[in-house]
Amino acid sequence: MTPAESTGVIFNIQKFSVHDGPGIRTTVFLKGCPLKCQWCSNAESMNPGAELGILRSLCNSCEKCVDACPEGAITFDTGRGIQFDRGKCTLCGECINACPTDALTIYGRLITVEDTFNEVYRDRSFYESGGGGVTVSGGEPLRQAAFVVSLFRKCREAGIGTCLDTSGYADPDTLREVLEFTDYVLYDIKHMDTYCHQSFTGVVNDLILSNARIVAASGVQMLCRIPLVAGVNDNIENIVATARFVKTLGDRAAIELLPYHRLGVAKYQTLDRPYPGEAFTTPPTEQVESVRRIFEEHGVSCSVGG
Amino acid sequence: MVTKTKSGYEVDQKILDEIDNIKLNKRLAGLKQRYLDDVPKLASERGTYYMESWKETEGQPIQLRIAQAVKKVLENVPVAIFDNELMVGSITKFFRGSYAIINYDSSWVLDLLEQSKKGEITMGGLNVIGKLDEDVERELQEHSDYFKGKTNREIEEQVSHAIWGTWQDDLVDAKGQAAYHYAPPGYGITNYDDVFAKGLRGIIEEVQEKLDHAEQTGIDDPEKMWFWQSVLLVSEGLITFARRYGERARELAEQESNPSRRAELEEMVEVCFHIPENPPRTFHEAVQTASFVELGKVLENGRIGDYCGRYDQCLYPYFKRDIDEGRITIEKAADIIGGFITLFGRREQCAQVVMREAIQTNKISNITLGGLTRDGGDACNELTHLFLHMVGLLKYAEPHFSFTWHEGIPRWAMMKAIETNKVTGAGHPQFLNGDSVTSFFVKRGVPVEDARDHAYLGCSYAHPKNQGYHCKAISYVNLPLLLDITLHNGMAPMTGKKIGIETGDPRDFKTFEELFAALEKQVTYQLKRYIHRNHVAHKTELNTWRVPLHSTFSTGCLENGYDIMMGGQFSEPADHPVWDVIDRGYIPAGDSLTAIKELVYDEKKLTMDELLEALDSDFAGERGEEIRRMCLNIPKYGNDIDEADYMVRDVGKIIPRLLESERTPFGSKYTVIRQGLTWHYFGGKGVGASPDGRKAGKPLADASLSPTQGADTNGPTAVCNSAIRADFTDARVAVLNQKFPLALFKNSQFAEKVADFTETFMRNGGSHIQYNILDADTLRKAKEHPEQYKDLIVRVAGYSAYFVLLAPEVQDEIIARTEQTL
Repeated sequence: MTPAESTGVIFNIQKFSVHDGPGIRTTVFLKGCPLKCQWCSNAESMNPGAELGILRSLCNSCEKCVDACPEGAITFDTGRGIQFDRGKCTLCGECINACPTDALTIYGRLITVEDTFNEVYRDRSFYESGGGGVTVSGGEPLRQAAFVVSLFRKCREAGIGTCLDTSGYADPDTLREVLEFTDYVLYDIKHMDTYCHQSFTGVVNDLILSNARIVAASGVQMLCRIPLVAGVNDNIENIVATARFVKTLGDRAAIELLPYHRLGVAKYQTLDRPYPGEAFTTPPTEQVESVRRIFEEHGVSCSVGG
Repeated sequence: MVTKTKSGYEVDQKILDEIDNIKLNKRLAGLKQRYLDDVPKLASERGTYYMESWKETEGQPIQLRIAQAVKKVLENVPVAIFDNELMVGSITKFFRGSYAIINYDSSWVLDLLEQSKKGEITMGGLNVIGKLDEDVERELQEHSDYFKGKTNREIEEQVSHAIWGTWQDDLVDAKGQAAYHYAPPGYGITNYDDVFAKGLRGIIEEVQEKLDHAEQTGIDDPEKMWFWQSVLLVSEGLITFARRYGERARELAEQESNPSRRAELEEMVEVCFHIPENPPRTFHEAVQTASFVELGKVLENGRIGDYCGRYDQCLYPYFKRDIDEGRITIEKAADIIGGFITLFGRREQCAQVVMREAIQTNKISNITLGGLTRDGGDACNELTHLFLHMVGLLKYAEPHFSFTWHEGIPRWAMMKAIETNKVTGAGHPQFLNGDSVTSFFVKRGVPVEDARDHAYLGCSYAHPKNQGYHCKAISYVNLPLLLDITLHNGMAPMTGKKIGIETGDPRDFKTFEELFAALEKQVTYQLKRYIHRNHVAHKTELNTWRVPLHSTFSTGCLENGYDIMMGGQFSEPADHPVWDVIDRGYIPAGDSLTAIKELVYDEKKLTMDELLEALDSDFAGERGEEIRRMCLNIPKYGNDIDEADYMVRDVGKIIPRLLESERTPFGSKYTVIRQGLTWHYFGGKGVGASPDGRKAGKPLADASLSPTQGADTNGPTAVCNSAIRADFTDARVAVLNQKFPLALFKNSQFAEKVADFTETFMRNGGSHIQYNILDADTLRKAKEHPEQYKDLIVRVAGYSAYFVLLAPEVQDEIIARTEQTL
């Protein structure tokens, strides 16, 4: 195996995932994403490399991390608390060891396929009854396609179901390769208008839409998911356009609405990044329900997840 | 794995659908509201009649004295039928009432009076304020004065002092034992076969024949004679008790102007004069029989709960016949079951202070549903469904329901059980593994049919085929305390008293194995002593305590001619599990040992001296805090990490291994029970700062398989994997609590996933799992505004209680417990 096939950068392995694919699953969150969705709830998923985070509510300003840092990357500011020079940080972890309140953490670690598989394999018995298995999410897992293929191949050999949770923004051949080892795809469709798509996510949507057809044509079971953000993509034109598009993906194509939530705000703070979604609000339940009905009226089966 | 030989009932889907559509009717809603609005009260009549009888029977054999006292109680305590009740049987004249069982412990109520304001008394949980009328208080005082020095608890105490000096008091002080004995012994799962088939009259005639036969042929043991006579006395007493309800119903019918209520009361007259003397003819009569039998049991021994067995099995033929023949509608059956559950719901418990501190409880009545038929088929039927549905509608904290899972349980029953968990908010029903329980009993010599036909006693431990159970329970061996004592060479650091043997200064131990061996030595010493003291206490209590009414309804006693207390339920006692040791705290003990092993022996980051100094100072100072962090960062049980889980397994094996060579007075082997309750709070008070990073006196991990609060960070599947790896299969039960926020159920598939999760855990060999479905915010609000959350129930380690009634510390801990982020 090449290094890319045998290792990946992840930021979490979550057991008993019940919202990302059928049955009970283990979700492997891969780090790095080509999109910059302003509502993203996983701030730590964006950068491809590992990075230091601080839970400021836990920090007691003891400054032990300042003393511990061999690079002099940490300083203490009376007004703003602990400050990092992220350029100097080598992620050696000395500050984490020194912190008495567990306020510091590193997001992201290099992990082998073997170790990832072993972690996934521990819960194998829980996958059996409800058709569960492993889900790779992110970030954008297709950025680390070689890792995903190796992991999925191993899982399949062990009889563990595989699910890909993707933005669809990837090279079509890469996608095809991963699909060969995939049992289920969770496919994000964020906006049908390519300009809106670009302004909210940083990329245009043509590749995403054409890749959706590849998934549909592959015969792998697919669930289109829409992060429903009030004022962004919940207007009638976009909903109708989405419905029409999803209908072209085949009779089995269905939609799940994921209403926007603000649970991710704190993660941005740990990375000293401004939250780009300040202006967004959670769509009211009635609005979600009316969107759901529009999809159903257009002949697309639609549920509300989250 | 137990082979299944037969498929179960043929279940009518139409009836299941009809049940799902049943709403709470006006009668049941009204009774529930009355329950919520009413204040529990303590009554004294039981004690008065008991005492009168006791004075009359001085010098007679204990079996007959008890029987006469119980008979007098049944013939005289007030009977009460409340407005609109369809099912009747009230422990006291109050809607929510209780008695103090002063004939078991003369100081039962005096302790409580000392702690209460005039006119008040705490019931069940310590902060349930009940009412105490002045005349009742005077009478209770009188009963206490009369029974002073005569009761079992006091005699046991005197005997213990005579043999071991203050050892047992010191042990109780150090929380090494829950109390001398916290509840009256002699109870069991009700056998309804005889009373349903022959009625009490039939039982009386058969017992009379045995007596006549014995008169003619002579008898090997006068105890048998006394036992059979005692059965006649209490059976007549129970018949009279039911007839008195009939008479009361007749009085009320005569005064009743509403014709439909009058008709109900007239039917009640008919029912109460017919059963339990005669076999029930209808579903209504069968359920009313059960109600009187369970009430009789509580009036006999004042036990904390009624262990009723499998109502969806023994009542099913009556249900089925009445439905098939059009005698009742599903709606009427629901009314009957709802009324029956209400009778349990409004029965209060006024436990002694010692008991409350240890297990903090109101009543624990246990009804078993689902499971296996005797020939190995699935036992779920329409009545299982109806019980679950009514539990969900009524949302009483009691009785609690145990749902027996087995491989091949139908999905509809699983989903109804999960749905009931969701609507009650917490823990009804709990899930138990019928397959592993069956194997457990078969391995210990119980015939497979009886093993399958088990039901649950106490909060969650199984017992085969409707048998009586008498256990001088070795109440709560506190393993973290024994580790603490081992680390202090025989001394309990929290009390400063020496209650163990000297096993050496741990600073001198060169290897971890030496430390573990010292712990085993300490446990061995303590366990031997516990067992010795129990055998002594058993001899003592036989002179003061019998349970003829319980024995009448226990498989085996009538044939064998002995009370449950004498082992009458067993024809061949050897190899039959009957006495148990309750050992607790192996999770914190295991986590502490893992920490010591890694920090002191494997990685040598600390010396034993440094560690002990930090523990003895309760992790004081900067260095103490640093050491505490090191301790907390060692892998903990509950995260699916091999080393931590295997350590718990190793600690958990110590007592079962030691018990292999021990025998009960009945010649049978001991088993261990690992149940829940709130012991962890009590037990933690006696344990100093521990190497798992816990501060001195803080609560231990709850239930018996639950990880230390906040230590499990890998989600519920990891907890389950740890629980399986820790391998508690040699325990009669091991309890695991799991909390899910209600919000999760908004996703329509979540209930299915919880069902899958439960089944997987069971299939992997899990023994018990119970769900708290709630969110932390709800709990915080409930703590602040108890008046708005009267209805909120929560599961605490194996039993349920209304959240707002729990002690604030327990409330805090429930809030703090890791909410699994999903």
